Amino acid sequence: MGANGSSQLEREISTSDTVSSNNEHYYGLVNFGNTCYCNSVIQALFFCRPFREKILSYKQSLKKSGNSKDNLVTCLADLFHNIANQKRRVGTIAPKRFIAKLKKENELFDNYMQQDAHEFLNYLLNTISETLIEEKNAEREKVARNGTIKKGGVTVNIQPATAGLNRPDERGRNGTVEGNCFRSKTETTWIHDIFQGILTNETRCLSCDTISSKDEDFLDLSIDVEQNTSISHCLRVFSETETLCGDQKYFCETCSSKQEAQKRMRIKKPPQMLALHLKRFKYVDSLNRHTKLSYRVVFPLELRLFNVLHSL
Amino acid sequence: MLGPSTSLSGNNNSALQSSVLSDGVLLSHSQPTREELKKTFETREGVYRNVSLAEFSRPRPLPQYHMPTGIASSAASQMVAAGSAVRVSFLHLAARFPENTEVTASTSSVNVANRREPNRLTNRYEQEVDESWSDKICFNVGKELYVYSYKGTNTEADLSRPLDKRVYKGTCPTYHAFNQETASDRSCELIIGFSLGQLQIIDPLEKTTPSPVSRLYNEDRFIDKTAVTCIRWLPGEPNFFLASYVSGNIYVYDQRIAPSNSNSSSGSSQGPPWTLHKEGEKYAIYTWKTKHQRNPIWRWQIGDGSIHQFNFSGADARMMATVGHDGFLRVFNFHSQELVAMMKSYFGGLLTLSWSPDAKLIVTGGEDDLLTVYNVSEKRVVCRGQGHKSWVSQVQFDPYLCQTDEDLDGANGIAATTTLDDVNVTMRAGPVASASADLTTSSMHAAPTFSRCSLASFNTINGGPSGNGVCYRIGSVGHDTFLCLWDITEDMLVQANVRRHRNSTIIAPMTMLEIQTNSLGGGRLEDLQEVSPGGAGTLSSTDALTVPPNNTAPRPEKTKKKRFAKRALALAKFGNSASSNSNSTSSHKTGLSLNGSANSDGSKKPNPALISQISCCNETRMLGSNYCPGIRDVPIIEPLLCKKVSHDRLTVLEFREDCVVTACQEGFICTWGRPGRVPLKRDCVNSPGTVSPETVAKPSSTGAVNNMYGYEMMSNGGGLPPSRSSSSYSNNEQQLRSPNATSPSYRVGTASAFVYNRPTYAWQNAN
Amino acid sequence: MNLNQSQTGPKRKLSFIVRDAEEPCHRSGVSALQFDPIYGKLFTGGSDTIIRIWSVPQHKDAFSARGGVRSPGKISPVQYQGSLEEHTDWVTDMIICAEGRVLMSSSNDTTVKVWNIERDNRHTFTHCLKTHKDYVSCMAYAPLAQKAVSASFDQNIFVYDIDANFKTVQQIMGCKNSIYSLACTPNLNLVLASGTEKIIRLFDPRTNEKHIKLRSGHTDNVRALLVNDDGTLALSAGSDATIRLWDIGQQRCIATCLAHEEGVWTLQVDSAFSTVYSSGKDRMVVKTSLYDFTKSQLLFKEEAPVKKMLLCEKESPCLWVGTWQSDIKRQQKKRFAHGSPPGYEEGVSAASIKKHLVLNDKRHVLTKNSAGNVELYDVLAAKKVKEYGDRPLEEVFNENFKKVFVPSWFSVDFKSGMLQITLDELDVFASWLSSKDAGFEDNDRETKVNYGGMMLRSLFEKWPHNDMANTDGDGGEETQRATANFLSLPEHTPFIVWWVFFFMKKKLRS
Repeated sequence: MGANGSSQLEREISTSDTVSSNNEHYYGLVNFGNTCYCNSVIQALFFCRPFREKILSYKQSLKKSGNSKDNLVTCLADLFHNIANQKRRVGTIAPKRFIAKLKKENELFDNYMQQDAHEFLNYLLNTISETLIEEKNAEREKVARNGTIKKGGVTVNIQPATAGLNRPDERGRNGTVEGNCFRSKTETTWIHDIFQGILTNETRCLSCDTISSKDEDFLDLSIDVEQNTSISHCLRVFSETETLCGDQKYFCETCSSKQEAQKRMRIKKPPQMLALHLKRFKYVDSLNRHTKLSYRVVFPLELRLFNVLHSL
Repeated sequence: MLGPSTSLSGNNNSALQSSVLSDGVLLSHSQPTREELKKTFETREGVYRNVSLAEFSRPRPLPQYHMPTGIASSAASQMVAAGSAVRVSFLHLAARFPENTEVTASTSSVNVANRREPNRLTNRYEQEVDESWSDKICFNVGKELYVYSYKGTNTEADLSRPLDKRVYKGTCPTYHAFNQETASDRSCELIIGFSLGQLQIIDPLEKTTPSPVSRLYNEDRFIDKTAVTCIRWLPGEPNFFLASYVSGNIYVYDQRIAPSNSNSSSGSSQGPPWTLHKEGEKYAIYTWKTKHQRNPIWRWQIGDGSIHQFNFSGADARMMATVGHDGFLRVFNFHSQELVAMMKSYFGGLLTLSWSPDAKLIVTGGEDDLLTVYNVSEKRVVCRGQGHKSWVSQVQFDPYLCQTDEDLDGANGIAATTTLDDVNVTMRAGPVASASADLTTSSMHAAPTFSRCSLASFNTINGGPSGNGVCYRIGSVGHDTFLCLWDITEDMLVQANVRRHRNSTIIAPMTMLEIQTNSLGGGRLEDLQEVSPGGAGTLSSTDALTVPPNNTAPRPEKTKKKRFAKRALALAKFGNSASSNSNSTSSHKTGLSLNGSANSDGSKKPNPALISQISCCNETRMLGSNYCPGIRDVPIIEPLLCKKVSHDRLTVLEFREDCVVTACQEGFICTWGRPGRVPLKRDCVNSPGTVSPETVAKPSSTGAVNNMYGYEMMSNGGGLPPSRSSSSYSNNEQQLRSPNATSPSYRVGTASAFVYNRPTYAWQNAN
Repeated sequence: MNLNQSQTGPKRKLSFIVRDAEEPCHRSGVSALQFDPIYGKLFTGGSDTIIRIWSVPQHKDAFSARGGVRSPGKISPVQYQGSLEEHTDWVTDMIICAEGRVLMSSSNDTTVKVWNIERDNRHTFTHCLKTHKDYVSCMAYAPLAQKAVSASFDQNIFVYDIDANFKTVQQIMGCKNSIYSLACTPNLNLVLASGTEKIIRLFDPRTNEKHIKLRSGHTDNVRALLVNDDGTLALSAGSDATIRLWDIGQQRCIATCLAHEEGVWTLQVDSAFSTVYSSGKDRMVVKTSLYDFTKSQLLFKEEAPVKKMLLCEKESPCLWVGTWQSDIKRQQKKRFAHGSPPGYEEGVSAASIKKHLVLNDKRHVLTKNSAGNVELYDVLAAKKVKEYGDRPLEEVFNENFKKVFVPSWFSVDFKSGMLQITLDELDVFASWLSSKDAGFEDNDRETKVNYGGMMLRSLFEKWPHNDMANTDGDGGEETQRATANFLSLPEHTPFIVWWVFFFMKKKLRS
């Protein structure tokens, strides 16, 4: 679809009834030379509504506090703000500041090479969440300092201070400042609220049918693709059972011995937004390198995961 | 939605972190992945073999049709862009000859006893009859449409001699259907639907100019601008046809009424002035209020988004079922125009549906990669089938391998006689009578080959565990290039199985006598209830779901149990003697028919419960309800066969008497000859172990086989070309513009999923 | 035991089991049951590797062993007669063949073993069939053909001719996954096998033609299979908690029973093939009529998951039940039919070891068994030295803590429910320590002792050529000294050599 196609698309978008009913902006992002990895991720994130809202509200709060920070998050917030406040509903925009900031922050991206979009997404999400945690910690320290000065170590007043952040998991442990460093490790931000889910690794002994499981967090799922398949199938393959047999038998605690077992990954808690990374590459031995898989993988507009632990 | 997706797709060549990919690599890999396709597949009834002679495709090379170089190779991808799936339609002429005994062979269920006679007649005449009486096959590939003669496994496809061949410009055929009612050996009506919404009726057999039948409907696209998704002639009616659209409408046309031309209508640029006739939940039926009847005479607007397919139940066309983009299967009483039942896919849209021969079940396939079997009379999902790796594009009941209740009633006698041949079987006692003493050498002789006598024994016993029950064969093809075959057995149809599936295990309290004689009865029962924690609760809750409040009197749990016990009694009888067998089955049947009548009662008046339930549950809340049971609430079945039969997405599956027909998006239509070509009763006996490859390859080797099936396998020698075909072919060279074809400027409607490049189009017509 | 460890090269190992001289009770789960009605003998085998033989008093001499008074309605308990101890891993299945004169047992030690069963209880071990390469999971017997069939996780099925000295007459291939269940018709016209593959494969051993597959039934591991005598009907059950009835002629499932809540592990059917008894992980023993699979009757509920059931229809019909725990129960058919609380405990169970901690001195092992009792074992002496009762294992461990460092030289295993110590070629001699640290006061300070060496010397003490100390090499003396304090082991201690054992000399000298 060349320039002609996109202009026709623009026309269609601007004239179609369904689109005009909402106040959505459809903007293309200018490619600064192999920055497609970045543009595609930004586009995807922009149309991920909870994420966009959080970023825009971050921009708002920044404005209110009068802080003039300059980091990747503020650049992204500015970009989103820019797109959302355009007069025309269709057009193009150049994410110049963001790209410049990105190249400055991380030398991995400071070139004109092609990059992996998935890796960039990971980097971006992690950076945002780290930035948020830092800010929160700074805030908290400030409050704690004030609290100790005023009340001689009694830190009951922290609750209203953190209320603005309104984190549900903090309610249980209000007032424990010394938990700070521990907390920063397990600290979650709205990035986690949106994208984080829990995978569970189940192993079932085939002798006694006892299941043991281990949980882990994830921000996105990397799934293999096959020719002529659907996304639901690829997800099912992701949690296909693997049998531990032969030399790989599994030591079952219940049986006190090595037995055959079946292992599979299932989603224990689905995230609010499921980010899927289709592994469109394959290592080919004969070529001694990865090749791209331009397989046709169909996806329905509605998706339900088969591999959720307590699915209906 | 369009915004992000397009910009993403434009930039989507995500490279790997360390290796920069050269273009050559990107392109090269797709070719060597083509694996060899198997030419046979095996089921319990035997081996299906690909009849390579009967493979149709667009003619290669194309002698008359000049395509720019390079396009031919990328034809498939073009078609993808055009969005029109390859479809195949058949005209059944051979079955009608010489008398119109069975009009719609594909829809009526198979009754062995009835079928044998007319077929034998056909058989006799077959050799003398000229080819014009053979069946006709029509298929579309891209912008082209072909009509050929088709004789099942006897077909020798001569691709250079089509009966008709058309190439369209600017628009491409999406669906087509022959009118079975009016067809004869010299004329027939083929209706074709197009990606831009037009409908055309042609007669591929009639070669006189000008053709008496060549009509255009919705020519100016005022009625509907979106693509045609499905077309059906109303069964049993020679003049009515229906077409469904991406816009979510089904239009009913009466071909006796002249196609309304834009010129004659006053507001030519406007759509027709529809007036609401009837409205229900998520559907509305409109008519066109004028003095003279106009076409289309009805407009059914159903659901949200495209209607992907619709079909009628059996020959009486009492019910019409639709599936669509919104994921709903809707079943309407076509004549009263009432919504009778509905079901939701597990997720995503539903793409295809098929009615069982007895019109009791509907199977659907969709974007959830699942098959869903729906019981129309009981209004519940029977089971889901998991086996496809991608969307299911076509499902079909195999009417020749379905054994319905009616078949069983009629066939019981037959079964008994066939089994009498088997001496071993009649000697052998059923499992009930066979005492432990059977462990002697006699049983050694009883099973010379385990596959051979076992089924027969089942027929005679009839009291054996579950016996030889109802069985439906379903076939499905999908975007994953796989053909799957499924069996729905009586076991799966039992509602109790669904209810007690997994978490809600209920062990029925011991029946009758045992409880009474038991001195510790009370304690015992408690024990049993303990086994199913909350068992009673689940039962009642599911009850509430299954029985719509207004449908019949709400059934309290106690009566339910009573019925259970009654059925148990009946089953016990069933077990004891073969004579009582007919009794019990008939009682079973009355139960079903009662259900059916209740339904029709309900459908006369608007069904408030149904409506309220629909309105209250939005898509997400629907999951877990009766319309869309949770994944654990219904059994999940696996296919008995799953075979890759194509390189590209499969779009067509047709079951014929002697063969199975598949077609893929590349435009290859394959014929798979049925094993041994014998009906189910024998098929079961013919296990793969006993059927030698010879009998499969040459079905004529056994006399019995010939009797059962239509035609003697006579090779046609050189394959006589139809006399007119050559002329018809040359006719097609002329590219004639339809006289009244205008070139209005138009744009694609919002709902249209298809992108076209040329704003003008021309009808390219043989006449 | 699977010898093909992932390490390169063969590893030589030696194990011994710390146990009582006589082990009259099962230590762990009972997974194999056979009853010989002619001699009234019950054979049981299970996770403790020992096959036990019990005499089952017939009704006519049903005097209680204790009181000698006939108590009406009560049957006398079975009596322990003896053990067959050759297997080194779980006994998984057994068959009685040749009119009760031969017992064949399969085991996770990858062997099938054959025993002659004598009237006078002098049973003899006759054959060890090493056909399989992985755990042998199940066996079947075709009495009319006098053939036995065994199937294994190695996907193979072997047929043995009982009359021809247990010669392997056929290998049936075709299964694509581990086999967990097996059945055959009495004339061996038909062999059914299934497992993690989920589909049931049907073989006709007389022809090597393509076999039949019963598909689209189970959704999980198939754990039990039964076939009727003429090979027309089959029953299967599996971890998907269903029991399925198959019509073999039609090759399809004709009924599904959903009575169980968890995996079904064992099935028994009456000789008329009309009633099926099933049980498994959910501990429920359920009776279902084959004519109506929609209704099932709960007979009773066991205390532990049921691994194996055996239906005896002769004389006084009863159901033997072997569970995950080590007890065997006889459920009389008469009794459970009337709903009276059934359950007749037969073999008194012995506790099996469930947890262990090796003490810091690397000589003592603390264990906690299924009864909750903590016990202290001396590895060098191969015997139990102390009992602590029901206490937390860690607490006792801390009490016995000694501040000493000894490299570990053995590994502990208790899959049989008993303590099994395994010495590995690689680290058996790792434990050098001064004799004072080891607690041998009588030696001078400089003497070093080696636990591994002592252990080996103890193990081979009674062997004719245990002259490892008499080696004429220069290290002989040191070796002698280092192992001088070896302890004599209880004579009944069985030990298992996992590989050719000739490395002692070399290693000890190092």
